[in-house]
Amino acid sequence: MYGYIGKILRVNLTSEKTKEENVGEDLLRKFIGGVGLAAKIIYDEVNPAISPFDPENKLVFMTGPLTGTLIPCTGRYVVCAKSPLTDAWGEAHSSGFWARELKRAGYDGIVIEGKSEKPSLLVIDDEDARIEDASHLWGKGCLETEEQIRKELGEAFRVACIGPAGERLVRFASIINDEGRAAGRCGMGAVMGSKNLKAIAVRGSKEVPIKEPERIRNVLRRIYPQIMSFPTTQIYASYGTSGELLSFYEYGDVPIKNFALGKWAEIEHISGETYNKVMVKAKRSCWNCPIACWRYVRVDEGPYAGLELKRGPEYETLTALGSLLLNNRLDVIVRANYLCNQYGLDTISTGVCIAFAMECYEKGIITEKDAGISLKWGDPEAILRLIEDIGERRGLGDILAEGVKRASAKIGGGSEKFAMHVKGLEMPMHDPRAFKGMGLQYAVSNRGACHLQGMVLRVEQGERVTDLKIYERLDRFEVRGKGSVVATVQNWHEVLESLIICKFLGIPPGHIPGLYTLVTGIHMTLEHSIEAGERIYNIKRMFNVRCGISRKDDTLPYRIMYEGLREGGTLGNRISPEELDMMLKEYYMVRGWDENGIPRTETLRRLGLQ
Amino acid sequence: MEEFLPLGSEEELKEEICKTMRRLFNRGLVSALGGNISARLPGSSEFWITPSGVFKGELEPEDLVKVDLDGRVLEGFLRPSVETPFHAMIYRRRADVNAVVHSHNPVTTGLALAGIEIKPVTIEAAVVLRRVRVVPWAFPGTDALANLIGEHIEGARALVLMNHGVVGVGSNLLEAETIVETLEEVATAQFVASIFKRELPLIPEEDMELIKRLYGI
Ligand code: SF4
Repeated sequence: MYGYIGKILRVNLTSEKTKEENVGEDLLRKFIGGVGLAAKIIYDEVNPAISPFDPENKLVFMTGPLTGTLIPCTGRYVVCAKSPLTDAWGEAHSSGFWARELKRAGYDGIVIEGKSEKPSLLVIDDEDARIEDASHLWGKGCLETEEQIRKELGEAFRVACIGPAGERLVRFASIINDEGRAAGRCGMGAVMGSKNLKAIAVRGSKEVPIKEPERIRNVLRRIYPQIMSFPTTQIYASYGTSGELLSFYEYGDVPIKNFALGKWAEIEHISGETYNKVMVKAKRSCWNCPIACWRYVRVDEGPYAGLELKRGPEYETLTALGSLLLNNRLDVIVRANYLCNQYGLDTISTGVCIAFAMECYEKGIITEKDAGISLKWGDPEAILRLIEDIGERRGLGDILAEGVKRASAKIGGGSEKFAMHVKGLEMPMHDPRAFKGMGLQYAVSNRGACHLQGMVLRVEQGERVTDLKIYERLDRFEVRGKGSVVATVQNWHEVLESLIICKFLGIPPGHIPGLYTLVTGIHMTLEHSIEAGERIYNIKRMFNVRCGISRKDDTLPYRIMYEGLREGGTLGNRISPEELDMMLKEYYMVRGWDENGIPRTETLRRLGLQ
Repeated sequence: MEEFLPLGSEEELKEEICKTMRRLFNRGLVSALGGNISARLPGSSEFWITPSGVFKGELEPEDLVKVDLDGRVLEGFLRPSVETPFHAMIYRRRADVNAVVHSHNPVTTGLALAGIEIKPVTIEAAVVLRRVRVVPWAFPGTDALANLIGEHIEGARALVLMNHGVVGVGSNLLEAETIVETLEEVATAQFVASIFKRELPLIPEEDMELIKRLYGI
């Protein structure tokens, strides 16, 4: 095989056995790889009725056919399982070097099953896969864990691991790889912790075989001028993901004070310009990436002077731990990000949980006594303390560690109205009242409030994707037409996440099938890939349907539906239940689902899922 | 075109598309990223088109993409030009057309932007270009643009696309190339003249009438 290795590693932690398994070309044609292949495995093998922390839940790490090839921006992996936040489909994505190393070791992916009796470490050294004792690493932060493992096994090893939050089953625990890159969402770190798996260390020595390397080089050389000219690619290259913060703010897209404010005079303090000027010391990138969106940061002054992060805060982190909490201090954001990385906590969910707690405090639903500290908006001490409390599952932190949906159910007092989540996954940092299509995307996404699968707001900003037949600019406050665009964009993003190629590369969809064909030798057309994307989207939905998900869950937080913002770029808009309804109707129709959001038999048959 | 004998094979056609592109690139009529060319064997319902986003100065035959008249990809591994819909539209409407050149002629486009009509300042211009129509703005790559071009292409050899570029069509590649080339030549002459003189000395009315009658313009 080319591009693909054609092999996955199955690790049973209960029996401590590992085995290799071949993946057939048929399956790869249908599900591409990456998230598609992971979805197929989980759909076939995971009983939807089990608890996410049941040893029977499977944790699937997957790369794609483009991972680790000379196609740029292909250093990413996906990790999937039944999610402890949503009790349904869960997935998280990360970038770096780990994924490429796994392929160089000779595997497209790893399926982790069962539960180890004691803390364990999975070592994959080329084809030699073994389970080792990790008792000495248990309790250590992610950055220390990685350092320690590389010291013990060798610097060439790449590590993905959990921190104390994952060990303690914090429901939004992340998996951290390559010195601070995070597979953040959906609590994949908690699933890993439930299996007593501390880390996976990988080293590989083989090149990923490619069908037509010369032709690929020749094409790449000549398409670089175009893909690097893509506007967002330029922004990411110049500023990193923070580069759009101020322009998003103008739209009313940046959440402020738990999505309750539309304007904030301090926004400049955390803007991409300020961040790059004050904190950023260097640019870094994943393996083989011409964009280099990562930022290496160091705090020069104040209480955290000297603190360095090789992978500094991204847009989502700057806002979730910044504007969302009315925290205008970059140094506090960097410190908070550092703590999240050490504990292994998703910065988005962490920010949303802290914002929730602060609002509870402001409204008198919880007191200083409950929290052990006063939870004033923007208070650095409160923010940092809550992160530690969540990571340690201490006091109020123990309740927040359950995620904002469960925490609000427990705390009560009307707090559900400002618990910002969809299906249990905390909202990412784009306010859907600024872009109603994003609202639909959040409402229906398989993993809950998801900003990765689509970024429909690009179309609502005016981007046309002619290859996907998205020709018209859609008004951001209009609801008509959004159902169709959301479905189209989601299908395409399933393709990108299956291949796997970074979405920051401004590569038009039409180039992708050709590059895939040159890498794998398997002929693919644009239509075929889009259909595969649709198939992948639907198989995840079917897993969710079996978990009990239906139309009742395709919804938005109360605040988004009932509370408009008096100031700012959302211009007072909200997404009323009626509007959401209209968008859902169109969306279900385009998807070939019934009124209750269940894929129709014909749809499943058309996609070869029956 | 059923009885038409093709003058070459598909392979030669592909070679020729690349050669045409290189010539236009060297003349500054297509830029690194802007412009596209297609051609078909006479009578065929499939055509070869240049890929999108690939540096135009160095196209190779294996980069080209074969599509049908609905724009579906039949051969090739690269992304077909985003303007495939309007190329397909022209072939659907004009059985006599076997080559379409879309270039970004700077002077022609500039004059159109300034609202200046291309005038027949030479006999060649009048004969070769006939009447040059201006197609109003539509977003590149959309069906809307394809439809507008479809409306304007009947009986035309050259079109100016507002805020975009030009289109030349022909029974073969050299003819289509000749059109966009002549267009730029005329536009340049007109542009130069307009710098020094407000009123353009056009070809005398009676000669022009004669030409019009003679050639049915
Ligand atoms: S753009 Fe950023 S995340 Fe994407 S591949 Fe490059 S460095 Fe990695």
